[in-house]
Amino acid sequence: MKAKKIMSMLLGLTLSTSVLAACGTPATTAGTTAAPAATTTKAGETTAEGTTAAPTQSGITSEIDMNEEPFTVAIQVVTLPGTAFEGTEDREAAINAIMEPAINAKIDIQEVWISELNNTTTMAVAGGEKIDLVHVGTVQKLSSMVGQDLLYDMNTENLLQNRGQELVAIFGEKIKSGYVKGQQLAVPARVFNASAKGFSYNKDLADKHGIVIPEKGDFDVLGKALKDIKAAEPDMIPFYTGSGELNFLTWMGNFDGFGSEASYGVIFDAEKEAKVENLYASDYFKDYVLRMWQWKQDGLISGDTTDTRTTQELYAAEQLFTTVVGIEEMQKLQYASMNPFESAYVEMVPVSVSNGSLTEYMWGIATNSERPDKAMDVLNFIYKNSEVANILNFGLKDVNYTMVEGSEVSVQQNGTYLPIFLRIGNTAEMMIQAPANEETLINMKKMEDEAKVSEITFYMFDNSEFGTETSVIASTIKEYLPRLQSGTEASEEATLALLEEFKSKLVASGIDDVIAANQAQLDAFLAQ
Amino acid sequence: MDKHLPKGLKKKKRNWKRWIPFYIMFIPGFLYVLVNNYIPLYGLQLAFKQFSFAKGIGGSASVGWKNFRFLFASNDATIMIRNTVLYNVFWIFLGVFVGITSAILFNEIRNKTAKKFYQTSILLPYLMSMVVVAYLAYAFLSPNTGLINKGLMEGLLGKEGIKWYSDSKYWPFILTFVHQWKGIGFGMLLYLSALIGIDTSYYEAATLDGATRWQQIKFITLPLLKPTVLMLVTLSLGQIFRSDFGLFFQVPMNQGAIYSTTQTIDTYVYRTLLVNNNYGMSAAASFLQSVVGFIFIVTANAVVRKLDEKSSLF
Repeated sequence: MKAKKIMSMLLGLTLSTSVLAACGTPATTAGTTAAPAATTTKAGETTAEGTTAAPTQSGITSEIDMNEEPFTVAIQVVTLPGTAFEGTEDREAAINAIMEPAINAKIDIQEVWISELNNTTTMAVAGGEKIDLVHVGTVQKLSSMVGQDLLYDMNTENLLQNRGQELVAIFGEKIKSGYVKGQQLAVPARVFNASAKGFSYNKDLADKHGIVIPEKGDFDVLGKALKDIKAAEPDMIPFYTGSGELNFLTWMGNFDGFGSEASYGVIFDAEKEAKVENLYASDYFKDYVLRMWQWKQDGLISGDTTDTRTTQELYAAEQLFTTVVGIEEMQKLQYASMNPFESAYVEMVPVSVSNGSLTEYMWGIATNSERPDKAMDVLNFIYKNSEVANILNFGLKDVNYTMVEGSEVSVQQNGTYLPIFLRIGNTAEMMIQAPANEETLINMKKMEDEAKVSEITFYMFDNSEFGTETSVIASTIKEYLPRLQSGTEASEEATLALLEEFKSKLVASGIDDVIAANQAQLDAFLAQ
Repeated sequence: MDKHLPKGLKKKKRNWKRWIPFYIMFIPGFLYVLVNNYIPLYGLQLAFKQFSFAKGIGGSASVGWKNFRFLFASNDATIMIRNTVLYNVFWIFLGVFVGITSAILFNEIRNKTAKKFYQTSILLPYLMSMVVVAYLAYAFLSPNTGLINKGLMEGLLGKEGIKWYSDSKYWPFILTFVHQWKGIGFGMLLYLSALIGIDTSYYEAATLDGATRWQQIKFITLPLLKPTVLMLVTLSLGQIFRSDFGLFFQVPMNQGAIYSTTQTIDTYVYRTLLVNNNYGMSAAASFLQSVVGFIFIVTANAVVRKLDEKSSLF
C-alpha cells in the first residue's frame, strides 16, 4: 500500500514537472525591439565595403560596428507547399563566409511554404520568435499588414536612408510603393517590375496540332485557342479555374486593382481618370462571367469548384493547355526550368509597372526584430553583393546548378533548390536561369525603362479604419466568385441573377464606403 | 505541542497527512487547467482592442465593441447563428438517443470477439481526422467521379447525377449523418461506462419478478442513466454557440453555393479573417461564443437543479 502511495506521488510530481516544462520558453515581449544606435552623421566616410558612404541624414549611423558580436538575421525564403530543400546549412555557411567579414552579420534561412506564410509570420511576430526579414506581398499583402504594426518603420532614425543606401540607389522612386500611413514599411523586392498580363500555353502541343496563337490578344483570342485545343486534344483541360477563389482577371484584366481580389475597388484607366470603381458592379465583370459560363457549356473549363488541384501542377504535367500569368522574363525563366515543354505567351494587357507588380514582392523588417539595423544591413548587402544573392537564389555551384557552357551568367538548375517565390538581389548584376543569358538581362532592363508607369503606381490604400467592412467583403467575394467564375449556374439568366445577388450583398457589406474612402485617399495622394 | 490541542483537532491534524498523495495527484490536472484555461483569460481583453504587434496586448488601443461589429455586419449573421444553434440542439438530443441505444444494444452482445470487433469498428471513425473524412465524403459525393453519382445514379438508376456541392438542401442530412457516424463510437462509450456501473442485482431482481428485457431497460437502465444524460447534456449546452470547424468547413469543401445550410459562426470567422488577420475580431468572436455558452450552461443547470438537484452539475 505504501509502495503504491509513493508510486502515485512520484507519478504526480513527474506529470506536474512536465506540464510546467511544456509551458515553453519565455517569449520576448512584442514591442521591445532594441532601438538602433543613434549617433551623429558621418557623411563621406568609407564603409566596410570600401566605398564611400553617400551623404547621410541624421539618425542612425551609416557605419557598421565591426567590433560587436556578429548578429544573425533570420530571412524568410518562400517556397511551394510540400517542398523541403536539403543543404540549407551549407548555403548559410557559404553566405556567412562572405557576409560576416563584410558587415558583421550572419544569415538564418527560414523556408516557409507560401500556403502558411500569413500564419507563420503573424504567429512568429506575436510569439516573439526570431524573425527579421519578412516576405511581404504575394499572399500577404502590405495593405493587410498596415493596421497591425507587423512591420518596422524603416524611416525610424532614417534607417533606410543611412543603412539601406544600395536599396535607395537601385529602386529610387519605386521605394515609395512601400510607403503607407506615413511609414516606410517595405521596399520592393524586384529590380525589374515591368510585366504584361496574359496567359501562357503549351507551345509544343500547339505546334503539334498546327494551332497558331498571336503574341497579343484578348478574350476572343483566348477563347478560340481553347476551342482549337479542345477539338485537337479532347482529354486536355483547355483552361482551369480550380476552386475559383482567385480572381483570374487579376492576370488578364485591364485595370489597376486594390486589395485582394479587387476588394477595395479598381481603376480602369488611370491615365484617363483616376476613378475608383467596384469591379463586380461593372459591365466588364458581367461580360467576363457570362463568357466563363459559355466556356463551361462549351467544355472549355471544368467548372468543378471542388477541384483543389493547382494550375502549376496540371500545367507542368501537360494536362492543362493554358494558364494565366504575369508576363515578364523571370516568370518565363521559371516556366522554362519547371516544365518539360516550351511555353509561349499571349499579351492581353501591355507592359506596365503597376502598383500590383511593385507590391507583389516586397521585403519588410518584422516589428519584433531585435536589431532592425542589422536586418537592413543584410538586406542592403544582398542587393549590393551579387555573390550572396546568387547563393540565395540558385544555391551552390555544382550542387544545385551548373554554369551553361560559354556563359558567365547563365545557370542550369538541377531541381534540388528552387525557391520559386524568392525575389531578392540586384537582378541586373546576378546570374540568371538558362535559357536566359546576357541578352535577357538587357531586354529586361529595356522592358523596365519603356514600361508605362501610371501616376497611381506608388499609392497604397490604408484600410485600418475599415476592418469590419473589408473582412465581410472578402468573405462575400469568396462566397460568390467561385460560382460565377466557374460557370456553375444552370443558365445565363441564373448566372445574371446570381451576379445581382452578389452585387447587393457587396453593397450590404459596405463596399461603397470602402471605395469612397479609397477614392478620398487617392485624391489626397494625387494632390500632393 | 500536540498534547495541548483538543482531542478532535489532534485527530484532524494527524489525518491531513494521508491526503498528501491525493493532492500531489491533483497537481497536474490543476496546473493544466490553470495554464490552459485560466491564465489565457488575460487575453480576453484582445476582444476590445485593436491589437498591435508592436505594442503587445497590454499596450494596444481600446476600441470598445467595434470588434464585435463584423459578426453582425453581414446579412449572413442570422443564417450562421441559426445554423450553429439548430445543428447543436438537434445533435445534442440525437446524440443522446443514438448513444444510449447503441450502448444498450452493445451491452447485449455476449460473444467477446464480436464485442471487440464492433467496438473497434464503431470507434474507428472517431479517431479519424476530419480532413480524411472530408475526402471520404468527396469520394461519394463528387459531382463528376463520386460513387453515388457515377455508380448509383448514372450507373444503376440511369439518372443524372446530383450536384451535391451546389444544392444546399441535402446538407443538413449529410452533415448529420457524417457527424453521427464519426461521433457514435465515443458517445456509445460514455453511456456504456455508465451502463456497466449499474448494479446487476437490479436486473436479477427484475428478472425474478418476470420483467421483460424492454421493461428492464425502461424501468431500470434509463432512470439510472438519467444523471449521466443530464450531466452530458448540460455540458454540451455550453458549446451551443460553437461548431466543429472541420465538419462544417472541410466536408462541404468550403463551397459558397451551400453556405445557407453549412455556414456557422466558426467558418464565418475563419473566412472573414483569413485575409485580415485581425486578432481583435477573432478574439471577439470567441469571447461571444464563450459568453453565450456560459449563459446556456448556467441556465440549463438551474433548470436541472429545480427538477432533480442531485443531477445538477453545481
